[in-house]
Amino acid sequence: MQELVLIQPGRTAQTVLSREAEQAAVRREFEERLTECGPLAFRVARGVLRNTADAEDVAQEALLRAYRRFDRLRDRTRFRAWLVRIAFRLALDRARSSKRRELRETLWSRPERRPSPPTAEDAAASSEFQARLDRAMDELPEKLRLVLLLAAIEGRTIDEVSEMLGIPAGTVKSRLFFARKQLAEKLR
Amino acid sequence: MTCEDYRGALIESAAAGTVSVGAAAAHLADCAACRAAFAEEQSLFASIDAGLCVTANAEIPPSFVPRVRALITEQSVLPRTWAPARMVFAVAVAASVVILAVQVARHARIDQQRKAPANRELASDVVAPAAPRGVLRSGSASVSPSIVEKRRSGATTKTHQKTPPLDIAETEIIVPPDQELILASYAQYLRRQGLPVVVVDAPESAFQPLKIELIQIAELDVKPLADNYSQ
Repeated sequence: MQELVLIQPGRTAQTVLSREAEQAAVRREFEERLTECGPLAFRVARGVLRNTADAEDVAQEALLRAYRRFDRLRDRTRFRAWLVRIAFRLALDRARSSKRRELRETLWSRPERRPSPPTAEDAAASSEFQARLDRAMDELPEKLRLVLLLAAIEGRTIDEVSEMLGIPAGTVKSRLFFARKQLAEKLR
Repeated sequence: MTCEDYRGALIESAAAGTVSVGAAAAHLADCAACRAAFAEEQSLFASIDAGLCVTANAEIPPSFVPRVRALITEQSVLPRTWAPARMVFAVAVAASVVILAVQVARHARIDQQRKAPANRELASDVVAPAAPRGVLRSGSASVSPSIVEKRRSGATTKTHQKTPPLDIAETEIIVPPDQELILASYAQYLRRQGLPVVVVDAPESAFQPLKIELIQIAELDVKPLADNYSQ
């Protein structure tokens, strides 16, 4: 029988130093991207959750996850699309769990479990039409919803959204068209 | 064509945010009701876009980015958290190797036992279960492997019939029945030397004294010799 010997290389001072330098470089690079992409992650989360506090939590979580896995991202130019997807997925998960929690609270009628009150900004946005629009948005398929949100954020062009999601511009256009049409049907 | 026929085209052009062209545009110029409906659709889509802008462009809390930056600074030691993960991985690999080795050894042992079942069958007599190299018999006849096989096949267990013949070069020592004590001490000596020894009592039938039948001679016919010889 062969003998298997597991050898753990010793951590010399040089390797420790080079590793720390590498970590610092990764951190600097991530922090540069954080300034640019952090607000985008927040807005994507806010677009799904429509609650500033929840959106902040979700965006923060998305950014931390992205940081932890940043060294595994081969193509750093895809960082923005990657982060958007993480934030969107986390926001959807949070929205679903919030719905389940609200349902439980309705059933149990426990006032202490009510969600946090909306901020002044949330209250300002909660007009009747806005509420209907939000409900209609919730019912959209995820693909259409993400495209609609990204196109609405600071007036991004179709090409920018296409580049961000890695899909053809024609696909973005058709998704936008169907999304708006479905929203209009629900709001008409 | 009626107004209903143009409705779909007008809604689609409003959804796409384009100005209707062709027949639909001509109909719009002529029909005030459709113009109003089209304007209403455009207004609806404008409201949707405005609502989407409100939803999508919420003001970012000023503390958001600094807080995330601070969290990242705290997490800068995170790469070290890979150490436990690597250790878990290494332990899992080591455990897998050990399990695999145990399984391989077990299968090898089973195969070995299958190949040499005779050793197990002589368990009552076998001192060491390894392949016997020496056979001692108390009796007055030597027993070869083929004889052992024949004896086994004639025994009560049928499985013996399927066992292959012993592939062993046996050294036989034949002793008379009254020298069992000497045989036992010699066997003990061999065991101490690390040699597997089998001591078997030979069946009575195998050691019956040799019987030789008397020579049968026909009756003699005595005749007188010829005269020349008698003289």
